[in-house]
Amino acid sequence: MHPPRRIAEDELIRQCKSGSLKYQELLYKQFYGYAMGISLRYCQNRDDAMEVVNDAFIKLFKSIDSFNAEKPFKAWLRTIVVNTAIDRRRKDIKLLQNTDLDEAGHLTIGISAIEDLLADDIISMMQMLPPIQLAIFNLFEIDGYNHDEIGEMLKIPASSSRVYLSRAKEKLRKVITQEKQKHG
Amino acid sequence: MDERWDNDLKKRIKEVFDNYDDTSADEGWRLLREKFPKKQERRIAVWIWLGSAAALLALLLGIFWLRTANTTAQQFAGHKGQIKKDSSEGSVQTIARNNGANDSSLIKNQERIDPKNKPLNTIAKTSTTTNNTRNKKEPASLNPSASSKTLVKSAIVKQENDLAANLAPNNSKQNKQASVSVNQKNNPAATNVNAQKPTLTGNNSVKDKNQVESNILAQTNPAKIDTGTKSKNYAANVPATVDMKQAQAKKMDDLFIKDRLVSNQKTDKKIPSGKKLISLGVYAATYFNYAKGSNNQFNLGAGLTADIRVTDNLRISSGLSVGQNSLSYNSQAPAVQSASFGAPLAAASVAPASLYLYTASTPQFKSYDANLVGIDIPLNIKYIFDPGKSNTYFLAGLSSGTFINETYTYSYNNPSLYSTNVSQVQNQSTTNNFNGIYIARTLNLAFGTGYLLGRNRLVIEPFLKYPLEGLGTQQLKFGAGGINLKFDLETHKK
Repeated sequence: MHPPRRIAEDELIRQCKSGSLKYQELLYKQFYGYAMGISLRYCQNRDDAMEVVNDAFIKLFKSIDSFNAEKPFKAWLRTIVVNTAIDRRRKDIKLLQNTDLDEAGHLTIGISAIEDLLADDIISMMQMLPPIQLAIFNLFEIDGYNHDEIGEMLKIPASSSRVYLSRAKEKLRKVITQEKQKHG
Repeated sequence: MDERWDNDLKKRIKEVFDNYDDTSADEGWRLLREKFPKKQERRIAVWIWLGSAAALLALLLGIFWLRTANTTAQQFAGHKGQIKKDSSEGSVQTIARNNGANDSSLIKNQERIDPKNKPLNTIAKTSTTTNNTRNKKEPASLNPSASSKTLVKSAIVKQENDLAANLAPNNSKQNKQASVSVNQKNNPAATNVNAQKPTLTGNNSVKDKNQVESNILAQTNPAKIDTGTKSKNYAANVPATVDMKQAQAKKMDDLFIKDRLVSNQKTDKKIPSGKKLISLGVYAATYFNYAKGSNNQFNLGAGLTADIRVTDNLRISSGLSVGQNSLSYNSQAPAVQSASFGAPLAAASVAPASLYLYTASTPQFKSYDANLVGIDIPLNIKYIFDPGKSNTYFLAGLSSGTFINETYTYSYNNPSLYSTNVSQVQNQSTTNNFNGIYIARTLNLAFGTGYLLGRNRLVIEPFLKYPLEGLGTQQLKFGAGGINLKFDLETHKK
């Protein structure tokens, strides 16, 4: 099986703007991994993550005419995927925002140092967080949103966002420390 | 310490996920294709298409029914007058028609129980009158001889067979119980007649019918019960009673026959005859116009059709429709139109020298739009595949017509001499109304299938109009493809 031919981003976007299905497929496959990397951090499992990616690409194809080619495409794609994931999980986030993680005893990620963490380890670790903490950690720490923006997105006060972030980081630290101790 | 730890974790997560690779892209694309891009949009387009056609058809039908409503009301008023006239005659037939056979039996039973009530007297009078008239016409029936009795009795048994078939068994039972006592008390002669009947027919069922007869005897001869004219000879009463019963039974038979005829007529009306010379229909059309170089444009139309029967399978189909046709050329002007488009080019090229300061000498084509509202008169041959069973047909023919309105809009760029990035867009429109008639310039092909809707029929007819020559003042060669939603109207009179 040959890896898909990588085509210049500009050409892909230009052809997608003209409605070419072939180029839409090429664009999808070229950026699928990147989109999944974002989606997996927000979702509970791979199936959900794939649905978020697909919904995000559908939005992207429908609105690609409005894309400004002078701006980086990846940033635009990231915004769409993040918004799609938050929209999809908004109900869960609101329902479970008071749920807290007390114990992470059943987590087995088998790490000895942060630099050894692999994608699956990180996903397993992050999925131990309550949905609202997971979303806020991702939004603030990885995707670069500030607390005001997060508050607006999740319909919560910015101060609450700070509290949830603090709790999320604390729990992640606890999990990793426990794992480090387990594996010496 | 914590901050450094947080930064390390953040850095690691970004590192891992920014370069994340996933091998399920093919599967993801397959799933995406189930929702995107065009299936959903096409479905929506089809629904919009069908919806708009249905709405247009409903509008046309509404107008049609409104126009016919007055006529129907007038017809109804006429019938009502006739019914009033009939009822004013006060005949037994009218009573029976209004209430049905069982109802008349019930009325008669009530009359027997309470012989002084008014309806009884009315019926009794009518019966007596009928009997007298009959006696005048048929004096033989007045003869109390045995032979004439036998003949009359035979006639009675025959009539009773019809009666028994039509009267409900419950009524017969009730009549039996009520009438036997009355007859035995007041009219023993009638009882005697009944006793002889089984021997005449040799049929057990006649026994029950005799009860009906007894009932009728009691009903049709209430005068004797009322007035108590027992002094009359019983033997002489028998033929008179039989005659009255005969007359009554005949009237009831007539009513049943009429009822059957009416119901048969109604049933006949429900079955489409298929033998009509001309059948009419209305339809709404939704279609796309197509032409070489033009984007497909969605349009609507509506019209009337008339099918003239030639044989069982063949019809000549014609009619009249009004429809819009629009074309939009963005990449290039239509072939014939290119010559016309040369005019502004030529004009620009011979423009005064002063204009060259602002515009280039060669205008460039930008777009060309044509909008034509036309009247179409088709002449088609329709082949019905199985006229008795299916409503499926194939249709082919030619269309003629004219255009009520034609609007053509040219749009072209005049590039500036000062900069290649600056250009001036110019539009030019021309309009024509009823500019000539075209004859047989479009080939029509259609395939239809119909569904019965009450007395009428809804036909779904996908069609294609293929241009044989150019149409309109600009001689544009364009066609159309779409669906007609047709409503075939039942044309035979009620």
